[in-house]
Parts: sequence; C-alpha cells; structure tokens
Amino acid sequence: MTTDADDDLLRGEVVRLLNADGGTAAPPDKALLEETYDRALWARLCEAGYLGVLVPEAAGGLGLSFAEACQVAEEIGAVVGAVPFTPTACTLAAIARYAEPAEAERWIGKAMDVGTIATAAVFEAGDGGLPARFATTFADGRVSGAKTLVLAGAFADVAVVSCADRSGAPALALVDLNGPGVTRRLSASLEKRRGYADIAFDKAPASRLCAPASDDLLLDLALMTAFEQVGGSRACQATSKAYALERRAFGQPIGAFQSIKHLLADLYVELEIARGAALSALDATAAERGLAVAAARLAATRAYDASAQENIQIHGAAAVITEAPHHLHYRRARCLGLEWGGAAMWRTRLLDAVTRRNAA
Amino acid sequence: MSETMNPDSDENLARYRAEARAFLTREAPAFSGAARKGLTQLEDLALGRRWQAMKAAHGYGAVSVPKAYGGGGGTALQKVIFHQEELAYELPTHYFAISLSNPIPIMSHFATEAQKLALIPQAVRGEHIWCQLFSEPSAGSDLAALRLSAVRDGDGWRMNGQKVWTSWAQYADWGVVIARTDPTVPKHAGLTYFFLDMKTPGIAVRPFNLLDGGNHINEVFFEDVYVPDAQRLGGVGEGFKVAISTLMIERLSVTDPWAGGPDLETVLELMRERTVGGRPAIEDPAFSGALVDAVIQERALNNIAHRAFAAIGAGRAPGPEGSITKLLVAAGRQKLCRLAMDVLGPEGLILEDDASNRHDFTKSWLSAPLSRIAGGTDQILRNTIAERVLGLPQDHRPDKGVPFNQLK
Repeated sequence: MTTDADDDLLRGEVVRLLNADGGTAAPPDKALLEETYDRALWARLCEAGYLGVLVPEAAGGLGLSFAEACQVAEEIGAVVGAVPFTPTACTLAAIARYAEPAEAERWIGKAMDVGTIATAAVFEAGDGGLPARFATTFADGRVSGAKTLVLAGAFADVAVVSCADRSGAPALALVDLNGPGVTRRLSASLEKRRGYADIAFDKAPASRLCAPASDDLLLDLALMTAFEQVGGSRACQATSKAYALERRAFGQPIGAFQSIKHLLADLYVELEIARGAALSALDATAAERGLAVAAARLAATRAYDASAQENIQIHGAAAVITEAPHHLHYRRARCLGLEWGGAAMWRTRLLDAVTRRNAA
Repeated sequence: MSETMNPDSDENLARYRAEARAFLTREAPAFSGAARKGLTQLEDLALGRRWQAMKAAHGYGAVSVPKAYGGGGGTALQKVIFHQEELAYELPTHYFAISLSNPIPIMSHFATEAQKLALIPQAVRGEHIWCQLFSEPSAGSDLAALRLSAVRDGDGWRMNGQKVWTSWAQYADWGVVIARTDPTVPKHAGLTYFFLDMKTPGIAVRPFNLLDGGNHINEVFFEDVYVPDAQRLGGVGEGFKVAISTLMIERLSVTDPWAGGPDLETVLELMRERTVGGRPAIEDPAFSGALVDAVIQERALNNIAHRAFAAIGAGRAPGPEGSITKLLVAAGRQKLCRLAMDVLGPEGLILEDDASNRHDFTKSWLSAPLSRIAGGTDQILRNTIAERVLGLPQDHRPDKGVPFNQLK
C-alpha cells in the first residue's frame, strides 16, 4: 500500500509529462483525423519508464503496483491522451509474467528502449462479446484466424492473441505483428487515433503464454480502462462546472438553474460510484475479481458516457463543432466503453459471478 | 375524450397522400440515395435545387404556401403528409429545410405583397436559400439577450455584431435577422425583425466543422451592414414576438419519430440478428427493455402527432405536442443509438466516411448531440412544458424588467 503523498507525487509527475507540450486536451481538430497516436507524448512516457510500469524492476520495469499504474491511466484519460498506454502496460505485464524468459526479455527491452507498443487481440467479428470458443487457433507454434477492432492494432509491434488450442481450450499466444503471416487493416472508426485494426493471422509464428487463467489479462485491461474512464468523466465534469459558473443566461449563471445544477449533481454521483467501484476492484480478492471488475467497468462506462454527453449539452452548440474539444471526450467515452467488450458482455459476466457466488 | 385525427381516415387527405406517393415513386429515385453517392456538396446542392424545382412544378415545393407565391396552395396537414412521404427517400432537401420551414412562412405573414411576390417563388423553386440569423455567442437559449445592434440611418438601419450557429448561411441568398434596435428598454422590448440580402457589403460568413462531419452551421459577422427599413418585418420593438412564432413552427415541423436516425425496425433487426457471447442480443433484458420503451414512445408520439394534425386541421394553434416530441425524439435517438453500439460490441466503433445518419447507428449517435440543442435545448423544452403547459412558475429571472444596457 502506498501513502497518499506517494500517490500525489506520481500523479504530479504524470500530469507534468502529459502537459509538457502545452497539453493534449485540446489538439487541433485535424489531429482526430490522423491515423496515428501522439508520438511525442509516447516518447516522454517511454523515457520516464511508464511503459514498463507493471513490469518488475528485476525484469527491467518500474515495478509499480497495479493501483499506481491505474493512476497514470486516469490522468491520460483526463486529457484524452492519444497513447496506447493501457494495452501496452497490461500486455507487457502479462508478457513479463507468462512468456518464455527470452521472449519476455526481448519485448520488455524494446518497450523500455524504443517505445514498442503492445496490445491484446481479443474480439472476433460478428459477435458483440466473447465466444465460448475462439475461432482463432493456436497449433504447432502458429496462430491462424482473424481479430477485429484490435486497439492500437494499426501500430502495435506485438500482441497477445486470444486463441483456442487444439483441444479447444483457451490459450494466449504471443505474436510479433511485424512478422510473417500477419496482415492488418486500419478500421474506419470513431477515433482514428486509437488505431483500431482488423488483423488476419495466417500461420503466424507464435509462442504460448503459460497463463494459469486466460482471463487475467482482459480483467487487467478492463480495470485499467475503468480508471481512464474515471479520468475522462472527471475532466468533463470539471469543464461543465466551470462553464456553468461562467456562462450567463436570463440574467444569471446557468449553474443557478436547477436543470443544470441537478444535472451536474447527478453526474457527480455517477462519477463517485464509478470511482468507488473501480477502487474496490483494485482491492478485490482473486475469487471476487471477476465480479468486481465487471462492476467497475459498467459503472465507469455509464459515468463517462453520461459525463461526455451532458458536457456537450451543457455547453450547447459551442461544443458540437470540432474546433472545440468536447467531442473528443464524447468519442473517447464510446471507445473506452466498447473496446474491451460492451456493457452486455460485462453485465452477463457480473450476473454470472453474482449467481455463482450466491450458489456457493 | 380528446380529439385525435388519423389523417388517412379523411378521404381527401388519403387521396392527397396517394397522389404524393405516386409523384415520389415516379420522380424521387433520380434524386435520392444512390443518385447522390459520391457527389461533392456543391453537386448535391445543385441536385437538391433541381429536386426543389421539380417539386415546385407539381405543387409540392412549399405545400401550404399560396399558389400566388409559387406554393401548392394546400393545407398545413397536406404539408405534413407530403413531408412524411418524402422521408421514405434520402433526398437532398436539407439545404432548404430551414429556408422553407421558417423564414418563408414568416415572410408570408409579415412581408408586403410586392415583397412576397418578388421573393417567395424563388425560394420555393430552390433558386434562393434563406437562413435564419438568430443565435449569438452570448444569446442561445436566452435569445432575447442578443446584442447585434441596428441603428437608424436615413431610410434604413446599420447593423453591427455577430451571429452564430446559422444553418446554411454559406449558401444563403437571403436571411431573416433579429437585431437590437433599442438597448435602453428591457431585453425583449428592444428587438426588431428584418430580412436582408446576404450579399450586402459588410457580411462575412465562416462555416464550422461539426463533430459528425457536417458543415451546415456558420458564424456570420456584420460590419456596418445597411438594411432598408422597408425590410423590417413587424413593428419596431416587436422582433421577439415575430421570432417566437418562428420557433413554434420549428418545433412542430419535427415529424420523424427517429429524427433522421435508424428507425425501430432497424434496431429490432439488429437485436435479433446480432449475438453477444453467442446469445441473441434481444435476450439481454437491458436491450429488450429499451426496445419496449422505444415501441411505447413511438406509438404515443404518433398519436400525439395525430392530435396535433387535428388541431392544425381545425385551424387551432398547435399545443405542447412539439415540445414533448422534440424532447423525447432527440434524446431517444441518442440513447437508442448508443444501445445499438453496445449490441455491436467493439464493432460499434466502426464509422465509415460515407456512413449515413439514416442507416448507421454510430453516425447517428455522433450527430445526436446537435438535435438535443438546435431549435430548443432539452432544458428549455422542459421549461416550456412546465411553465406553459403545467402553469408552474418561471425560474428566478433577475434580468426581468431591467433595461438591457443596465444588465450585468
């Protein structure tokens, strides 16, 4: 457990990194159309070692706790940072834990030195959640199949791919995305900077991660994303509040009208529910983690969708133009709410977990 | 028992609808959907002008405008019926939507006979587009707080200031504008309504890029713009009254229960066809519950629309229907589209450059915020319902009765 003072120190440093170029919260509107991430910010995060935030110090990382890594994610979420931090941090941690030592050393070294991007390729086209058995297969050290909407897939160098092995059991396979047998296509999407890509694997060379539970990585990704969502909600609400105080209509600040005042109060409650659910998931026991992460993800998705949407509503027409930054949160809220599976998938997981617990 | 009216139970209206449908079946495909694919905006606008001219030649250009001014000489109900039928196509009508539904009715109320004869037919044929110069940076929901000043100058007025969120100003030939003609009286009392030639020296138009890729809204700057007094509509100081009648028209004209987004059938199809984790999406109670709500809302809003028809048909002013409908339709579309994206899972993030509002949930979700703001925000609509319909007291309004130039 870290102290509050340590937390503040970490947050302060992250915020400094994020704002080193004057802030990324309001990029020029053209940035949205660019099909790449914020390379300057990524370089700063890499230099400060944050890509390996979850990798043990002995393995060349920063060795911070998962809770601390989530603070970094929260601050990136607050500025709608266009960097694949969450997939890289979580995937590298899984590689450090479960990959063959030589592979782990290779990818962690590259990430720490040159900012290699890592991601997880989970979803397959045609279904809004996860299938009972992945169509993508791992056999004889090779992966075959196709993944869709892989976050950062357009520019990632390495991916952990969810597969079915020969017996149909779930398996995680590590694939060099620049290697043979890999074809990727950038998806036209709500936010091109996320680099969503369809990736086809045709007997792509791969090594299997010896992960005890294939779900761990997805839970890490979902929970860290929940903190990004909390950060995004927080930032939207701060903007909304400032505007409610400054903008006048009918002779007074619009925040004096209950329609706006109560809206902001309701959003704040949603945010605190999301934060509470996310923090409680950090402390969950292994047995409770599935339930806790599902709750955190659902609450965070709800809070960020609502905060981003009502932030526009409170600002009025001034917020529907791309010359203004509000639409970046609106888009990002949906990206974060869907990229590791939408609400339906997590509702089912939460319900299954609750029912199992009560049956036990 | 409240009076309702299914327009098709009236024989004449049923015949009108059948004729309109036959006209559209014959002529619309050449201007609709695939005919527009790949066109630049200017090409699409040109196609839209040809479609508008075609409609005008058959009395559908502006159904309820008198024939003397190039309209169809029909009733308000016939206008709604034609619009409903036209919605079955994807026609380039949006360039003329504001022009024909707001400024032109106002012109036909308040302009002189000579002005009507000179200007309305060209708008009906799509040769001219009119814009509505209302909102300003510091006057949106509180329209009467507008600052654009008009000062007497000989036989006319000099205007200075800025308008914003003006739809299609970049293509507009004419505009209607509200200006402050007297800052020494309370805010509503000092406003006057005019129309003006958008090519008048001193007007500068700059389009914005909208979050959904559209570009129809603009900033419009006025620098010493001269407008003849003959182009004043209504009395000096009566501009707000004239404006309010425009906004009432705007709220009534929303007749599509899904506000241009995918309809219920499309949502139902999606929920039946798509699976989440191998299960049909519709088996998720959150999805099916939302679908149930949407079905209820659509049925009720249709009935409310029918009652509005009855009111219009009987020559009465429409009631609160417009506010209820706009409030539910705009927010409902945003919610339903977000839900559809949830059904799709990660694939809900796909947004192709040429995605259409009508068929694509993600595109429609992206354009929904504008519908919740334009033509009356959700918050203002709730006030309208609470205050005008229910008779509840207004919010505290410290600016009441205070001369405009003494407001903070």
